[in-house]
Amino acid sequence: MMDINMGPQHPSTHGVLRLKLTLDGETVTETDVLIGYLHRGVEKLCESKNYHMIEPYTDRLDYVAAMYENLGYVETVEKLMGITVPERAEYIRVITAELQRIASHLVWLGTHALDIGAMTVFFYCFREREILLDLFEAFCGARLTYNAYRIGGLPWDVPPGWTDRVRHFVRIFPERQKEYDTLLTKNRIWVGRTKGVGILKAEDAIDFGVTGPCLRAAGVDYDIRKAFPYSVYPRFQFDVPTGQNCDTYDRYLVRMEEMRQSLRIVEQALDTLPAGDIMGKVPKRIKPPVGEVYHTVEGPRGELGFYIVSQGEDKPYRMRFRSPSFVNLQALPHMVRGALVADVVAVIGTLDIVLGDVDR
Amino acid sequence: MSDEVKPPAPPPGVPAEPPTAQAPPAAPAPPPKPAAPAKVNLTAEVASSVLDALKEKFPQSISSVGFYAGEVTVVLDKESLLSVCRFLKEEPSYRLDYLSNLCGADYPDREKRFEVVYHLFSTSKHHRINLKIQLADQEPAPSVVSIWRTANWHEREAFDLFGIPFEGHPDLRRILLTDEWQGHPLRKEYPTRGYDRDHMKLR
Repeated sequence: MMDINMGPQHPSTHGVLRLKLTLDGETVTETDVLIGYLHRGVEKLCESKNYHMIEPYTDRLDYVAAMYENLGYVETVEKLMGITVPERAEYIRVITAELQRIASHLVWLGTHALDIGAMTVFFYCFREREILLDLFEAFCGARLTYNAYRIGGLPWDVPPGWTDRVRHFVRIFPERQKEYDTLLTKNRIWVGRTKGVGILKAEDAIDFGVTGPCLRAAGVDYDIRKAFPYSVYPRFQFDVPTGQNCDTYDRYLVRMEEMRQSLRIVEQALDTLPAGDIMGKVPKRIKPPVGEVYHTVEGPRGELGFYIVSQGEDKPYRMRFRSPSFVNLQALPHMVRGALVADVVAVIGTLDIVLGDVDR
Repeated sequence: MSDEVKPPAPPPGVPAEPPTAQAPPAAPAPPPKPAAPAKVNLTAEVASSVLDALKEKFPQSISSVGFYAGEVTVVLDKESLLSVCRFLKEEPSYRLDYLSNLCGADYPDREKRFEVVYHLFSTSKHHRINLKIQLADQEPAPSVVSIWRTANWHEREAFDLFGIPFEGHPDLRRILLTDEWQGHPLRKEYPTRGYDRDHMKLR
């Protein structure tokens, strides 16, 4: 029996995650997950910021999918105030958010494969992510922390020619995704490192609060875009991919399929993109009435929840971010019990955590 | 790789005409301005079968019920929390099997200053309800880890940041802050800059 530290400075923990592994030979018997190295007290900070000033903070939680954090936050405030958002703004939000899901999954795929030893995939994924980041930059001026939406709509419309560039991406991406497929899906090393590794069964997943692709790979058809629809998602046709084997390989397949489905949503939204306003009727000073809401959206990693308590002031009385990375990470000790140390790396990769989101 | 052209040049698949020609803002006829949205009654009551069941099964445990933006929030007695949670999780017609969020909130002006909020969802039935209990300072809350394992870290976080003790928690220790940390930052009296940060005054 031996205790060994993994992290907080370790290339495959995707940030400052520290695991205390208790090993019996090379087998993990117990894991203690130690987090908080990136805790910035965002929830406390939000209590002294007005509602507009909070949105940039949400960028810095899940910085790999900042667009989706923005979406969840502005939708929560809109729900709190009963604001209606113009259709065009909703469509552009959905387009950018789904592109963000693809970009986020590309980071996951690249780094996950890199951890397991497949280096080429990383370069391929970042090649396509670059196109997406250029699109985001053209839309809102930033490549990572976007601050792209506003309460009640959008700060600006898409630039001229932007939709054509998105269409170009929609056209070329399926071919590019086939390249990842050929590199991984039937690759014997990849299959050997992922099949049967990190099993998380459906009832355990729900019990641990695990959401997103990790839950769907266990065969549970639960996607908030379908279960509790928000924005204009009900207008689009898309499937919710699920797996059966509850392992790392199935989670890989589910995320790959999710990228294809996101592309479908983007394509439909581009085809039906209405003209019109991009900003709803919103007071200059955001002062929601007394009340509280808990709103959830389906982020790339799982359920992003926002709990806001308003006391009728221009600042939230209590702001809580329910981050999927934090909750999903909780299942890690369960998933690696009895596995080899090398599998811990695969499981961290498959959970797709972002430490900014874990520690807040 | 040759088609990796970076903007501002348009991607090769796109006809090389001036991009403004297809710009969406230049739509021919702007649609009429939508009328101001009807005032939404945010606190309107909504029907909830879960709430009806609770009213029927645990009438004496419900202190109050709140409605906001279509959400139902039930304030419960601390004593009945566990039996209510177990009922909601196990009753086949409700199956609130998924605890989405658990968090604390601090209201120092109240007699019982802390609130613990539980946001429950059903992954199969697609309905939801929010539960709440109220606690005085240092008053322990019953831990729901035995019902939903996900509550483990949520309760540790509430303990860490609010100082709410959870009775029956298997491993109650700080999670985000270091073990030596003094105080609980999300309490309202805790200064945003912390207690020991005088040396960080702006220069």
